[in-house]
Amino acid sequence: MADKTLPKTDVVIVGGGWTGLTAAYELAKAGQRCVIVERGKHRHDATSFAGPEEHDELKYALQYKHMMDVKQNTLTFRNNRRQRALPMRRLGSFLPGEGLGGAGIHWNGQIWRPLESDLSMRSHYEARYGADFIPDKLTIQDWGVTYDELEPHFDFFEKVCGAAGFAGNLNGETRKGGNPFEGPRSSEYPTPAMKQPISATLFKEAAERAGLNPFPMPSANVTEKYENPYGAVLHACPYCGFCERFGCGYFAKADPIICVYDRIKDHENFEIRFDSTVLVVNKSEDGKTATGVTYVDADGVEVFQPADIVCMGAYSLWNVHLMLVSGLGKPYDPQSRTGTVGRNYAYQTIAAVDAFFDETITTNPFMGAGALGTIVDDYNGDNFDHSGLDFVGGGYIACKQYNGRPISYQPTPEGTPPWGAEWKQAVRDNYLHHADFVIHGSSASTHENYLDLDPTWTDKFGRPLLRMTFDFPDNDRRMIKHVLDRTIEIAESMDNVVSVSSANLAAEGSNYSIVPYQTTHNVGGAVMGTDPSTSAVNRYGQMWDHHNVFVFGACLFPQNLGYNPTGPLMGLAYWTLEHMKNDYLDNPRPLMDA
Amino acid sequence: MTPAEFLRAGIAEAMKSLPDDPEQIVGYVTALSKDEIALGDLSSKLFFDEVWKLTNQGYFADPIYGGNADYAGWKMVGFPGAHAYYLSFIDKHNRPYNQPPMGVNHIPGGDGAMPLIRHQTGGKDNG
Amino acid sequence: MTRTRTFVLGLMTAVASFPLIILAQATSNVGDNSLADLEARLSDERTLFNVTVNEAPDDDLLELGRLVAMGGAENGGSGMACITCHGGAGAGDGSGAFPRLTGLPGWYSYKQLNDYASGTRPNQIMSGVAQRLTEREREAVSAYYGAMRADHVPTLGVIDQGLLQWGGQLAAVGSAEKGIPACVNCHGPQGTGNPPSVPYLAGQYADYMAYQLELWKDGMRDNDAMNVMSAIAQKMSTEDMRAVSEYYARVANPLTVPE
Repeated sequence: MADKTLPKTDVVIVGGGWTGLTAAYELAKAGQRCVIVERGKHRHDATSFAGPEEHDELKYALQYKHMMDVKQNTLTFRNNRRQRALPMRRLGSFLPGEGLGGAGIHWNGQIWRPLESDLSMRSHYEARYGADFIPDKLTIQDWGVTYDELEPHFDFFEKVCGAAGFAGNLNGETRKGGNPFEGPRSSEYPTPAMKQPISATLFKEAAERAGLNPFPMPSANVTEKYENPYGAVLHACPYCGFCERFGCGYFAKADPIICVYDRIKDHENFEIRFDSTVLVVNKSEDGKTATGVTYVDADGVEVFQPADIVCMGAYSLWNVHLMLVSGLGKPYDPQSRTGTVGRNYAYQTIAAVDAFFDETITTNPFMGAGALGTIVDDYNGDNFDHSGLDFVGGGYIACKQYNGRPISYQPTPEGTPPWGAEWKQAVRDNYLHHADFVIHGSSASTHENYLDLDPTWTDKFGRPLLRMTFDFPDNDRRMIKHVLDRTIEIAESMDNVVSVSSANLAAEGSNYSIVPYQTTHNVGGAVMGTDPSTSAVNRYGQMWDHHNVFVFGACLFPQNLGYNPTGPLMGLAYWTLEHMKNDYLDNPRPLMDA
Repeated sequence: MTPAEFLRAGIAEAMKSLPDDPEQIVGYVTALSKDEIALGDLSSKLFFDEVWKLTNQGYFADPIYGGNADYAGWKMVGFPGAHAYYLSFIDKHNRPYNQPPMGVNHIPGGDGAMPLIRHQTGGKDNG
Repeated sequence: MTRTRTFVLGLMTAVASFPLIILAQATSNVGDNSLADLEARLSDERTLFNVTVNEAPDDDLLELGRLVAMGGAENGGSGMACITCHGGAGAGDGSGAFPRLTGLPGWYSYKQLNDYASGTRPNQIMSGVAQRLTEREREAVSAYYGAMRADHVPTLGVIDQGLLQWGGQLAAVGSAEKGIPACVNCHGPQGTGNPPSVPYLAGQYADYMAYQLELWKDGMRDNDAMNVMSAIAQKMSTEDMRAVSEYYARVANPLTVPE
């Protein structure tokens, strides 16, 4: 029972990150009184992320000071149902955020759109390769929206971020130097592509010789002074190499604080409450709608905030957790395969390649940015012919230069001992002569990869922790091996390369481990779709079971595509907000039939 | 066990079997890394991994943390440090960048370290 | 210095014109700015990096720089010697009408001269001066001033402590309210610059800096390598500009004063 009840507001929003702040901006401007309940504290690029203090690898990259504190909030993890899940005691595989801006502060700034075929993966593969091509084990689904429907929203988010790149498909016209596989764009990128370092340039030349189509990675580290549609001014990125895991004191990496929060915080319809953790989304007596949220405020008081509309803008995992502890929708049971909340959890499949140059190539790895690199997309999605192959999906290959931070950036050729005098010598000899590749692969969903509530472990409020059950499906192991092999071929053909080695985090015979960092791309669990038996949310972002609960974030993805999720999820966010503003507000009801 | 408890216990156990002869240290540490030394109930490999990680951090972290004295670690690899501003350089390919390192607490002419307060062992501080 | 260079320098000095030697002595009123001092300083890798424009400077370049500073140049001289306004050691006259050049990154000064010459950085006086210098001369005089050392000319006048504090705050952490990033993000440790492209603010003249910020805000100056200064200045009020300039004028810059 809450200690106190506040006057009703129009909209209550859980979480002050990219989706929560954007929802608040758009709805406040549409005349709705919005309250954001944010678990963490206020912070700002100017005062919280200023160099040189910000440029401290140990504090921010390795001790995770801008990120979620696992001593306060965590989850439990196991690979499969035969195991007992244990709490995650250290961040590793993924790095959720904390505080104003959430993970949108310490992200890399890699900003993508899905391929057209990504959004209808099931029907696309069946049409091209036959109804039996996707194995039954994989619960791959269509999203229920098309690229054309979402295009204006991808475009708008890219403008909010000042995205830097070169369009490969401009209104149907293919342009050399861009991504030939992308869906058509209605406008060029807002700022020019990033300047590529020598390693990426050598990769580009090798890729072109192989008949592939390299292009600069689309980046939300803007490349020139830029004003976004909300009136925010961003500055050119200095390639400082303290990008991902850090906030940007240069105002060059698009983040929710400078792009959105600063432009709405003084609006009469906007309010944000910090240090306030939402415990539960409250439901009406008949269970058909939400009545608001109950949260614990900064003083430890339990507060009930009634609202007409509830927006779930927390990080994807915590959105699903909140649905489960609140009894929103029907929880997924892998045994009976019924229910939808927690179903179809997926991740990202990652492999890496290292190429070592001779001494004539100086790479200056410390000149980097979170979205700096050159991409080959020829092996992503269904951009290549899968006939005769034993997997679905694919991934992009990136020759990247994010940073040269010396505690972590210590590339050594294969055969170097892992420590000692010889190791030190190798670190010194190779620091300035190395190129870094990632294979960033899709993640298929299965019946057995899911989220639910842990039966043993609870949080400080007594709620069960979220339990994650996940391992790489064999499909993805075969997929990543295929793209990894292609990457090694390109790397070996690059000029001035003397040796190449690789690491595969989804190798055959290994299990997914939450210890080594991979990506903070946790998706699914509150999947969107057109069929309530396989989705928790309809194609407008509205929960099937509670028409005034709107869901944002990567929890909506039915499976994960090859690209990073922020661009796609923000396109969906703007799509949902458009329907809320133009359709739902005047006539609150389910926006589509089951 | 918290990480701190684990390290203290591991150090105490390892001190019992640490060889006196410096020539034998490398062999000992190698054995630790392969889980071949008995450290009470503790995994010597896990202990080795933690100590290695902390040593590496101390060696290459900003000098304000007490290691990387006079930027020795950063100079070894060629990392310029916390004052990072490379827009004019990023596309000048193959040009070595020879600016000496500067850390978070760098004062011109200094080594970027925080002042260390050293305590005397036994007896009073001299103030 | 190599033995060959010592010999060449000795020879040059020996056969150099008599007036040149006298003038050289006259301008080195600070004892440690002889050519030998400049060269000695270059053995410190930070100074060398600071001073280098296209290649590491040699004795010839420094000597040419001195000549240019004194008004000598291939195209009959600039009509005005640098030392007239900026002083032989670059410290100027303390008024703030002309910036302190002492110890500025060589590449930065070189770029300014190029920008003055092309009109990218408009300035009635400096455009004419820069246009009359060859590229080598621009490089030389930039390297020369970059290697110089001179005491700070003390700032006169009393300043409101609140304004000074505000300036220090803007310098160190910026302003969340106004969206201004801290100066120290780019301008180096304690505002002492981040060569090659970022000049120091510490010890520069307050009036000069405040005026430059006004020019950036108006768009009259827009030649910084990063194209960020106009965007930042547009977010600053006149009071903000005064605050941060008065602050930095009072910050010691040990890199540019004699040891």
